[in-house]
Amino acid sequence: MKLFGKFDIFLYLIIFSFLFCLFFLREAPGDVRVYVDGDLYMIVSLTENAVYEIEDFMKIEISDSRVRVTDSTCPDKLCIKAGWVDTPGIPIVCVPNKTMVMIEGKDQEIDVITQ
Amino acid sequence: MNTRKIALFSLLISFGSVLYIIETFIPFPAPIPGGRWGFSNMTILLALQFCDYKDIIFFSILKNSIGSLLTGKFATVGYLMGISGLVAASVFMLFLYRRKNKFGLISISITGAALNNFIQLLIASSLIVKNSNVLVLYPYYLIIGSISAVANAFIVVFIYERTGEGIWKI
Repeated sequence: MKLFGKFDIFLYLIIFSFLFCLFFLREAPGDVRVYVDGDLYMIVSLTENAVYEIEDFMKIEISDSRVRVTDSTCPDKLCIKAGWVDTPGIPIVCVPNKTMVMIEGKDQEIDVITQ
Repeated sequence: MNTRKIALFSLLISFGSVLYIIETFIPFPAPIPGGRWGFSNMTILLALQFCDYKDIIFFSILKNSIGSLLTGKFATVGYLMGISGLVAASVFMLFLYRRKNKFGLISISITGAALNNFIQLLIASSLIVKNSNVLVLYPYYLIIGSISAVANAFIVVFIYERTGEGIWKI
């Protein structure tokens, strides 16, 4: 049992080149979609910097192709703590308000996200 | 299967199952669903020394099944993902370990963690979510998995130094 071997570097190279390839798999971000209670509430563009209100319980801010929740009535504020999101497919979820904010991929329609 | 092998197997499987429960209590730093550190996989590293390919498949299936039964995840989607990833990773780790003196334990451990996470995400993206966006999460899993994989390799070498070679030979 030894910690290091002669050909370790090849394994690391394979893993890192693989990781490098995977970064190209990121697709271009599309629009921001807001779901309330499971239904599509609104679609807003990711390119314009703006602040939008969702009903009276939440505010989202879009800036530099990123989106975040700035204000919410929920008790734990987990949606605010999630911070800025710029990756398609990773949602900001607020369970007490039954709201999900997510950036869509440009090409495909996502029908369901399981968490 | 002689008595010595049965004793070593049951020792390591119970050790692995307990670690499987304890690691669910350790907070996971990234906001990703179903993430675990993977400290229970150090028992696979210990088992590499006396297992052949048939044994290591048997070992990883048993470790994951007993651990999942105790944490209440048995026969769920996460269990299916975990078991296929672990079997593939442990077979590949044994393949690397059998190439004598070519690969160190740290690189074997990191490769195992990377393959385990990749197979899990591949199954999630192809069979369950049916959405290739899940693969975007892979770098997060790989970074955190590598930290615990390096820790596992050091712990295994320390265990091996303290106990001596004798008890791991069959």
